[in-house]
Amino acid sequence: MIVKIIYLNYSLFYVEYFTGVILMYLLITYSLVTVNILNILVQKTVTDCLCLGFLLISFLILNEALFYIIDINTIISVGINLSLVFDSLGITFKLIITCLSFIFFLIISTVLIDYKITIFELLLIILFNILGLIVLCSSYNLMLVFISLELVSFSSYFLIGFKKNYYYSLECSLKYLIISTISGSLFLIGTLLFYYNLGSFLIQDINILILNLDLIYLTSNFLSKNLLFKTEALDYCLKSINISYLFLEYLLLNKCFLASSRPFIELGFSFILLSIVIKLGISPFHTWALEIYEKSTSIVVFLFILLGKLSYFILLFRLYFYSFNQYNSILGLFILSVALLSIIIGSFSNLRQKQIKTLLVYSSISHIGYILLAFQIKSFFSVEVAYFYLLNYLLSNIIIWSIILLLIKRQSIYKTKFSKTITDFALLNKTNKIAALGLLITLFSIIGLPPFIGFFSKFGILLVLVGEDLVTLLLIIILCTIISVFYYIRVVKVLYFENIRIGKLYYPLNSFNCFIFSCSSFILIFLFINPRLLYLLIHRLVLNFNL
Amino acid sequence: MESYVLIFYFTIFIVISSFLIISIDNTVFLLLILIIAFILASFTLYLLNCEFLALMFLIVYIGAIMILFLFLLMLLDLKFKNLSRSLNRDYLIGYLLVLLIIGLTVYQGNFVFYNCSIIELFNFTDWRLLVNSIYNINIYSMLLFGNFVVELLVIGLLLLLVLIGIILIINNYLSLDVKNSNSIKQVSIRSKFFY
Repeated sequence: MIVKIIYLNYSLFYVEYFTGVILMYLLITYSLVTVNILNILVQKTVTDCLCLGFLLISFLILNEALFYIIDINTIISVGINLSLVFDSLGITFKLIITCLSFIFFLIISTVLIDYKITIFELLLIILFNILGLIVLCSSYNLMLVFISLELVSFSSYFLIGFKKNYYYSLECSLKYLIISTISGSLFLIGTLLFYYNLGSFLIQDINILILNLDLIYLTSNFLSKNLLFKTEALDYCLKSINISYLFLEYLLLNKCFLASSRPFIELGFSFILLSIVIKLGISPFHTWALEIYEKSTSIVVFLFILLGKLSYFILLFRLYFYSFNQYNSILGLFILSVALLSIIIGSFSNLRQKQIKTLLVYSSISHIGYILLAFQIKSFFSVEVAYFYLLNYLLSNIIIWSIILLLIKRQSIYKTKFSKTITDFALLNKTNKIAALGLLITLFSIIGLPPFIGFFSKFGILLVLVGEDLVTLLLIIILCTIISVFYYIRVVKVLYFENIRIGKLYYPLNSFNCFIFSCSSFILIFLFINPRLLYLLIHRLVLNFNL
Repeated sequence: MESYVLIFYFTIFIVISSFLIISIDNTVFLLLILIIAFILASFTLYLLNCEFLALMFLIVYIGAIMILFLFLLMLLDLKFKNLSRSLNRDYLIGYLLVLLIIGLTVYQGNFVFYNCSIIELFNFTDWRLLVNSIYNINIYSMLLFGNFVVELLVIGLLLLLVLIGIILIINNYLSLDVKNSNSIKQVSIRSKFFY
């Protein structure tokens, strides 16, 4: 692909610039204001200002930046270094991130007071998190990717461990620190191997190298002595690795072959993939996510599940399709196995869960497994389907988490109890019919029943698998979805048909927050009738593929 | 590159000191050996044409971080005697052998100093390299402020984040003396509601 260099064009910088400005302004004024006044007096207005800021930024992207990139086959970069890159992929994802952060701050503004959190640095660190994700969207240099990943991780450490009256907060923060430093060091090993072969950190250089594979003079590396072409690869794989019949099917159909003269690039890419997989919280590396998400505050878990996973898909997209475009490798098998394992584990482990947060974390593990499944089949439609599923997952998560955060049980005048188990929602139908209906709609959408959009997203993924003739995989996934239906329907049963005399007493809900989740639940039905709204966005996103 | 022998000489002592660190009982000796390791590392860096980084090692590692360790030992009175009792000094030979084997597999070049005389080993200087007038610090500035500006800015943001976040996380944020004064008691009861 071609990278166009444009000078003095700051309209593309809007998102990063404005979030940075909001952050600095917030830091300065907030620290000066809260000297004399308690933070609780200003917190709600500040969160509302943040909402407004992100809404205006998303409006700006819609009007200006989305239509600036006319030529789809080029990527725009500014200045002499090609670290920051602006293409339709990055900008649509920034739009999604700003819209989601707008909704996040909208929900948070009333919930923070109920949770009795009045630390002003919390909002700042959330802003740092969002800024890190935004910079990750538009980064083209592996160094900048690493630095933005560090921004996201550092803000996550502080967000997990800020609650001082809870014993486990610091412990979980330390555990997450250890795990993310391990993944960061694996990422660095991968970049080191890239640099060893190419001499630069840019993602596009790998593409140039691979396009000219025939012209490379074969050096005397020990692997190049066993030059592996398409026909020899299968024998090699079958002799060296113990592959079950399922994966043999995959290999036969996709005709994988290993690298010939530059073996360390694949190793580098595998290290980077490993670091992303650890950070996403997918099985077999999912054990940290369960404990840490259970023991942090619900607001922070909401942020992580909603916004924390988005930019990794951009990174995967860029690495897969900008650099390793025509390069079938055995790493697709790795992604497939990880995705399959996470779907199976996410479905089966959730059967005994009564805690809400672990239930939702396991379900997010399985959702990300579905997305990666569709992702590693590298066709245009499959990537579209993957992003469609991602957007649907985000929408349904907004509704569920807003209901969970808003419903706070009242035991006596001074005692409150935050929702931790499913039984905290017992007989919600009697106390609040609309909340129960909203929850019902989203749960049915997640299962994949027809009048809701979840049906199309699941259907799309299964269709894509059929297109690739991966039939055994299809069978396993259908069985896992059927098993996952159970625990979602159990929540519905608790809401509507629990066998107790009276339900629980809740604090009265804010009407504006109810408006958010009731609107979103109607959107789920509307998108089933007319999914073109999401489809246009995703089409714009994926058009940079296969340049 | 001037002389490989001096670099080799210094790096051998770095390796020896790193093995000594894990096997010695006395804590102050450990700090001294660590300081020696850093000094030798800065010497090797100087020989590898990175004079700025060599001085930075001296200033930052020895001047700041080792002082921090000294204060740590002074205030906390750490005792490592029980730790090293489990470490047997006979395992040192095992470590050396492992290093040797790993080094042999990793090192794919020649083990022989060929095409040079004994005089050249100690006195050889490549005068071509000395004609250049770009120093180490010029290269850092060219890269940091030219090729990697955006990374520099984002690293600055990261530092700001860490400054804010560390103070958020440390305990005893409001360390008030509750026993002595009445007004502080009232304030502490109110602050319990918020924190």
